[in-house]
Amino acid sequence: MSMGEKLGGVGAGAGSGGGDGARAGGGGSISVEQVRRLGRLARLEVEEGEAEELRVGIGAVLGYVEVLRGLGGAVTDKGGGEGVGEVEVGESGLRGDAEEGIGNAGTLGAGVVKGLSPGVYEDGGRVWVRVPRVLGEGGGA
Amino acid sequence: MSGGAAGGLARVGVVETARGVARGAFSAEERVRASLAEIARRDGELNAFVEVFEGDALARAREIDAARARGETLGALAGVPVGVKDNIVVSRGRTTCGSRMLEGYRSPFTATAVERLEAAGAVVVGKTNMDEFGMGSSGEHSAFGVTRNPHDAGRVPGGSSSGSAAAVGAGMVAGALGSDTGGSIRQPSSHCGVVGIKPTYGRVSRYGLVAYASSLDQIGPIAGSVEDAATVLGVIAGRDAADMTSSGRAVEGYAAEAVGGREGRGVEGLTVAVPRGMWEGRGEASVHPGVIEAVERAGRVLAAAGARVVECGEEEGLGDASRAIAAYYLIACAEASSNLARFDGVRYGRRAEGDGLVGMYERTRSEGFGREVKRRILLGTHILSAGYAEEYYATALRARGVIAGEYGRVLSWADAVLMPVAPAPAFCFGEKSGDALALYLEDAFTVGVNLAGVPAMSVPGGCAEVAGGVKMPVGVQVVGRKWGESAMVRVAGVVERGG
Repeated sequence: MSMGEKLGGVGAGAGSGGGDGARAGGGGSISVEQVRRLGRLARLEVEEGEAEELRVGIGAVLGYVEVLRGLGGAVTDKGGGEGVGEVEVGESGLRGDAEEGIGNAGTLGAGVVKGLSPGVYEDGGRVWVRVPRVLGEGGGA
Repeated sequence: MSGGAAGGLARVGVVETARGVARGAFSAEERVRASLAEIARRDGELNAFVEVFEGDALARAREIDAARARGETLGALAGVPVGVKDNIVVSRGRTTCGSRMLEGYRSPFTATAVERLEAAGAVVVGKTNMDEFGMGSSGEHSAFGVTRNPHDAGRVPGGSSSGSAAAVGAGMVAGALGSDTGGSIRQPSSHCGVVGIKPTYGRVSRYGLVAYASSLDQIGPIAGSVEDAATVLGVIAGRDAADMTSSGRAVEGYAAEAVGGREGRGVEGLTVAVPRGMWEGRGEASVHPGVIEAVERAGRVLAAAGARVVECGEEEGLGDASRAIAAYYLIACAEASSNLARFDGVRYGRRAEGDGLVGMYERTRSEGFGREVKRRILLGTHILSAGYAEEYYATALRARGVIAGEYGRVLSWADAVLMPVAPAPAFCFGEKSGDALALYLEDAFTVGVNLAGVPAMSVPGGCAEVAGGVKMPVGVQVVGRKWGESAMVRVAGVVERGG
């Protein structure tokens, strides 16, 4: 993994602009129990054989992102003002309330929905979608 | 261009196909048949497609030929066979995102970008393979098998738009749509020797793109030349009422800009920055010498054409790439953990039997998602969970601000930035598959662009020698100003001429 070592080394050097952003703790290590807890949070069954591999993989990335720790100091060195406030991702495309003729373009008509699944049926002039019985079975969601 | 044999016709590009069909040099049906024949000939080995719409594609081609026979004006993409990455929905056929989770899923609607392609006369011949949900940089992470590099089947095509880049590189289609969250159009384009454009965030509608990381995702074209890719971009770009992040800014004549660049016109007075600090002095093996040479060669070609090619100073550079990778993976995984929560066994695709509701969710997701997707969901869940959000997610957002600021500053005085796409040419299968972090570092030069929201593209910059004396294509990355695709494409046209 020579690339990783080399690029990782770059990051460590760049963070030297200021150390006040660095602090101890957390990054880089995660336990198998934490991986299982994350699985429960993410509604993802972590199987016996994969917990350790996931722990190593996630730990490696968490260790790598330590390169960001020096960034607070680096920002200050460049004159500041470049924090979260500067995050700007493209031009906001939020449409104004006054704009007409758009509506909810993602809404599908009843005709389209009816063709999707045998679980779709009409009753009393309305379209219904049959879904699996998931409540009341001890799911405890 | 030879309009005769099917093999020759399969290599006819986007613009030449539309011209040839319009003037009757060959029919749309002949052109699409040539494409289908090439898929039949090569896809058994390359696995670039997950589904081919043979009958439907031929029917649409015949409709175009009939329209021409009636004397109707044909669209800018008349008869052009295209592939569509399988995370972009088309109501015909399935949309799998390269995942078992969506095996057999059929979308009730078609993405805006695809509708615009078809309205211009393009013929969708199939859906292309990809790393599952866009997560991967090698084409090795699809539930439907690896895609192989058309230049060396023992090497990866790059990813995550692996099938789209390989299909164009192999001449199976003239153009394709990909999506780019952290380099997923540019890196496979570089590895497969084709042109790939990641437009400005908001330039192309994402209605119908299955979301991975919504603040970074963008649809873009892959094609055989800068003019071809620019032509497709011109068709798919522009405001779409169905995507509130799409912009109403005017869509310019990108194809004409590409032609201007290719002919060396209009480059005088343009300033191109080269941030050598990103790769120089970082240890010789960090970036392959063939990649550096391709970037330097592109700089020389641009200077010869009259551009002002300027090295970025220490203070106005783009910083080191490792920060961008770290910020990118934190933000992308955080957004992915939220976006992929919708695949729960109830609303889409696969459903497994489980103990109660939660058991069903957990079993479904565990069976449906591949290992790389699980890793990213768990990583994203971790950094958003109580006690860690400030440590990781907020830090990543601050880093994103710094990185966007650096791109903004350089692009305030430069019209474009020149840099590598990937640190090295395409690697061999399995070389990095056991090490997630090694694969993430493939994205060192591409992720910053997504964090900053600016446009960028990969242009073939020649070949580099890899182990065993094999020569593999290498792309050069041209980064443009926000909404500055015109200048970017013009610069890329010059680079293409020198590659």
